[in-house]
Amino acid sequence: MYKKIVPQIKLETYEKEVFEIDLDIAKKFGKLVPVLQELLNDDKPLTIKTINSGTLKKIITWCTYHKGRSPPPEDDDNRMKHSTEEVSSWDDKFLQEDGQAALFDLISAAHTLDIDGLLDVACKVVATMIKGKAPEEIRKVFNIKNDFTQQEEDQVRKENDWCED
Amino acid sequence: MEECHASEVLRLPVILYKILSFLPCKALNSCSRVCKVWSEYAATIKKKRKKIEWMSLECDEEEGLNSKTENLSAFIEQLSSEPDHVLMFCTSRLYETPVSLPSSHPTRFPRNAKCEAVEVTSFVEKLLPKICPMFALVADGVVDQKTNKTCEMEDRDALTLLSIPKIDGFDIYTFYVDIYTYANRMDESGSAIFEVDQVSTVPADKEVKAILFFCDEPFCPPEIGYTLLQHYKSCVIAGGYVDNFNSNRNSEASLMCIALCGPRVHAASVIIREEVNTAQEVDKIIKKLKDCNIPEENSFAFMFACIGRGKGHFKGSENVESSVFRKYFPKTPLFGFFGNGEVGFEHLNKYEENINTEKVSSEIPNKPLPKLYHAYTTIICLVSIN
Repeated sequence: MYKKIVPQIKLETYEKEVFEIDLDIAKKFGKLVPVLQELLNDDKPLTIKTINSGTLKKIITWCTYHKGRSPPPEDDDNRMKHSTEEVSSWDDKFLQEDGQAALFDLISAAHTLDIDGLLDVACKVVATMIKGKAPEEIRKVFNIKNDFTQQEEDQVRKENDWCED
Repeated sequence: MEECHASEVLRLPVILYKILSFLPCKALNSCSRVCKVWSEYAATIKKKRKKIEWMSLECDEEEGLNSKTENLSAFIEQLSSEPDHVLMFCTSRLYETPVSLPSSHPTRFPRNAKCEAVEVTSFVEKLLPKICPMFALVADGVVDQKTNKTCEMEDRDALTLLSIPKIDGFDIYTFYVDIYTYANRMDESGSAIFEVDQVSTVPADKEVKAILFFCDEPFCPPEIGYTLLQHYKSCVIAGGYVDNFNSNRNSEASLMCIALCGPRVHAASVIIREEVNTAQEVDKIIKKLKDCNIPEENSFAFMFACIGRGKGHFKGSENVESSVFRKYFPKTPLFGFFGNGEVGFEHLNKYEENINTEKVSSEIPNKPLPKLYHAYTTIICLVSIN
């Protein structure tokens, strides 16, 4: 029986696990676009040490799900660009189900591989996590050090009086 | 590979910038207070955002605003630019009926039952930055500006909010005229420029481009408008008589003037007279406004109509005037009300780049003053910040 041969490329993760990725998925990885032809001809996998297997799996699932789905339309004039409401419930669940560390691994990997759509939606999810939180809560959630002097803190509080307290 | 912690990823400038750019202004302000880097990024993002934003709500007579307060708070929480001035157009019934507060509202105290319902204006004011003034104009009907549709709400309740951020080269000053003091001054000396000069908060070096004129006292002496025109030469005056207005005014003055000033402001106005009662005629008039070539980017417009116009005036057709406006200005939001008398005149200020303003203002005083006070008319005033 005839089976369509899908061209694939090979990527090796931090754990030295090799993944075979369909070309039309790999095309979404902006960083790989210039070397795709080379990778197709080469049997040796490309090693990306900064990405672990769990994250790459997530990325492939995400790209597969969104394959063929058109990106959301550009915002019109009055719709806010920052609006976090446009994250679909599928994306929201998918990106948050493995916890915060996994989400940030995914952001870092989407940045490394230059996957625009995924980076945007994952950053929107983080933005939603920030919304409604007071500065101290934000520091706690993301483990950020307050490096203001008392004087600076008073000043910045004055300048940003309208916020969540 | 080290484990990817949030704080490490957030140290990547591209990522931090992207995340923060998805946040509305209020949340960005919280971020500014997290640490130095966040503060710097949030400030950069805020500086780029100078958007005029608006929302509208249509309300059911029975329910009023009670089921809609969440929408009001959500709109304010979601503003992308920090509001510097807020205008509210609201029908009388909504203005007078107290709304119950959601449990998270800043004025709600758990042990104080009295504080569980407030007027819609105080409800909104409490959600805004402390220094942001809000002006509410109350009339029997309002213009309901939805995302892509404009409706003239003559017999249904509606509310619209317009948020104006701080924009360089655009300043708003508000002042109030006590019409009785004004009338006395006129009787005594025959001129009241001095009186207007006394109450005006506009600094002498600011160029007034438009004055929005709102009065809640039907016996306002008509000379006030002329005094304003003599004082602020070549400006647009537009407004009307409302049932009520609310602002953080201290006085009982019944005339509120909102002066739009600055080199980046362009304003023009037209008047649709009583006898105009077909879409074709309205079209000709609004086309004159279009021909001023005022850029639609960053613009907004006001429609102050007589309560006697609207549907009844156009043989039962709804939204005639606002639809024609929409045709010529698809991107400009339109706000306003159906009031008890209109103030304004045709002032077709052509937009030219690098306009020589001195020349324009020296021409006007020689012209006779236009008729300002009308009945059964519609005033349309276009304002653009460029």
